[in-house]
Amino acid sequence: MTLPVRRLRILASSQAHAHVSVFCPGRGQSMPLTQCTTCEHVHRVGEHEIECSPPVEPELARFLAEDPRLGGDALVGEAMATLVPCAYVDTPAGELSLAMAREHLRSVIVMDRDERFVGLVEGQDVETAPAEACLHRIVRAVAPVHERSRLASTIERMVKERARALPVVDEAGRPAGIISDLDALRWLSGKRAAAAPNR
Amino acid sequence: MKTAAEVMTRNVLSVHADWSVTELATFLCDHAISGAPVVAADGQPLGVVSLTDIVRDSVVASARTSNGATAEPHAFYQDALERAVAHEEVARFRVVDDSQTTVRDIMTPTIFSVPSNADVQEVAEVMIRGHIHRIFVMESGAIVGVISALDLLALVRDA
Repeated sequence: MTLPVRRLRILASSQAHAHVSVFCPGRGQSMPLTQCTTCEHVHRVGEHEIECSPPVEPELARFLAEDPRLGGDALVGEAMATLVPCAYVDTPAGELSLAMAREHLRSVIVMDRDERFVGLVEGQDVETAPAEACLHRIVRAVAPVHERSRLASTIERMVKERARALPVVDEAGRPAGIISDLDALRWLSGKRAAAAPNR
Repeated sequence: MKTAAEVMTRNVLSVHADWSVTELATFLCDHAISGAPVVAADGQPLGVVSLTDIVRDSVVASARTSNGATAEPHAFYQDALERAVAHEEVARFRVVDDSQTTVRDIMTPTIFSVPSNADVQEVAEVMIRGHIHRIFVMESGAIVGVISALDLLALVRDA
């Protein structure tokens, strides 16, 4: 199978760097790409995607067998977006506002210096805040979803809350991605196309 | 398979191209909506406009290109939140604009649409390809409804 490579880009920071990871459906969690290069189940590692055939771990298989519904037994980690813009809570709003405008971003995940998820800021939050105000003063509290949550239940939550996108965290509470309505739609649409290739 | 006409939300509120920015802001706030399609006097759709355009026009006018186009799909389409604008956002929103700027000057002259008889799979493909979260449904050249990506997900969920 082909898996997308995900990049967590940290904006407006002198410590700018990117976390590059792959969601391993075999283990049900994100792994640093460097770990994939030494995995025996990986066939090819590319810049944007890898090819592998991971066996599903027994615990995950049991979890998935419990309540397979919409989206089959897909996990959020499989469908989430590949590019995730982040910023630290102590980033000045003015600095982030410029970065968001430059990159046409509407929302950014905020994390603390231990890189744990804190919340979200939207463009209008940073545009209307004093330029020197740090993000911890304006961040919006949003309950994230776990990358190992079922896609089905996450879609239910998005529809119920009319939430266009939700932040995704890993086991350690670090940002792992963002899942949007279009990501879910794309994933479901891809599954449909795979099921009916001659459509 | 269901068609766009069967899943769309009807009664889309639209604004007129010749309205002033102040009139536009009042309309959007009164109806607690974040954006709307722009129509000509004869009802022909011309583009879309949102609260973001008003803010951008008054705060960062220089960021706009000469024809109002941006590299990404317009905020109206990206902001798929069919929700009403949050009360605190509306309360916070004030327009100080005594210029002659009209809706036509700040709108994005693009309409993403599908015909009312398009099936939902086609609608989903257009949204995914165009990275748009919201799309208009047209019939005889007029907007008759709107569909969001969340509407389609709800459809899948309920199937």
